[in-house]
Amino acid sequence: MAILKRWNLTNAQVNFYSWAGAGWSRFGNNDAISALVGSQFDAESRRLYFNSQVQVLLHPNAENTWMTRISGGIAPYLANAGEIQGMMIVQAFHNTAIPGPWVIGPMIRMYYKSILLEVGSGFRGEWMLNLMTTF
Amino acid sequence: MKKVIVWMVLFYFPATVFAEKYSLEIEGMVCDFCAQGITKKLNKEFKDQDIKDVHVDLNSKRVTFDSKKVDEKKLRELIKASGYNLKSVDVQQEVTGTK
Repeated sequence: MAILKRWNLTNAQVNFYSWAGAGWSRFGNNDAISALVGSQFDAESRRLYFNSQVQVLLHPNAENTWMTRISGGIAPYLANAGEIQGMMIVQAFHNTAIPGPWVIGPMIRMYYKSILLEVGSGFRGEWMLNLMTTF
Repeated sequence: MKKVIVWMVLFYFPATVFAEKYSLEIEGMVCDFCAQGITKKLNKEFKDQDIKDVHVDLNSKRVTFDSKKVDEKKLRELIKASGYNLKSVDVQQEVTGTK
């Protein structure tokens, strides 16, 4: 993932990312080299959060799969540096490989120092847990 | 009496140790991740300047620290490379002790 552009505002940060990769995938009995290309736009202040993400899986022997995610959140309180910051987020997912409407699910994000923890529902409504840290 | 005071000041002044107290106003800091990233970079890059007491205040969008004099151009480049905008730098000299 590479950041293409960042706008630093007085009370917010706006980012535009993109990524690309290649790998091996199987659709039915078709194995082939496939590629994943995506981009993300997000805007975040200490109080509000918005994220939109779209990525496409390019597969030579099957229809391309488009995956879209839009999320928005609000912080119930403003934490300072060194305090636990919480963000309540609602996400909407869509995947063209999975028939059906958009799936909507909640997520809670917590920041503390170099740790980011996300707990919520995944694409099929299952539990999702993300833990990220920086060194 | 005046001469005594003047001589005392002249004697004392060279033995006084000064440190710079920096206060940086930074745009784009919105969470503890940002604060940690900037703190780590400052501590690493200005280790030779005896940087200490790095403190981030997200309310005022300020990062403060004590150190020996640092190159302001290098400071700006460091904050920019970290992904943020350095809006202003305030430097105050303070007496930290005597030799």
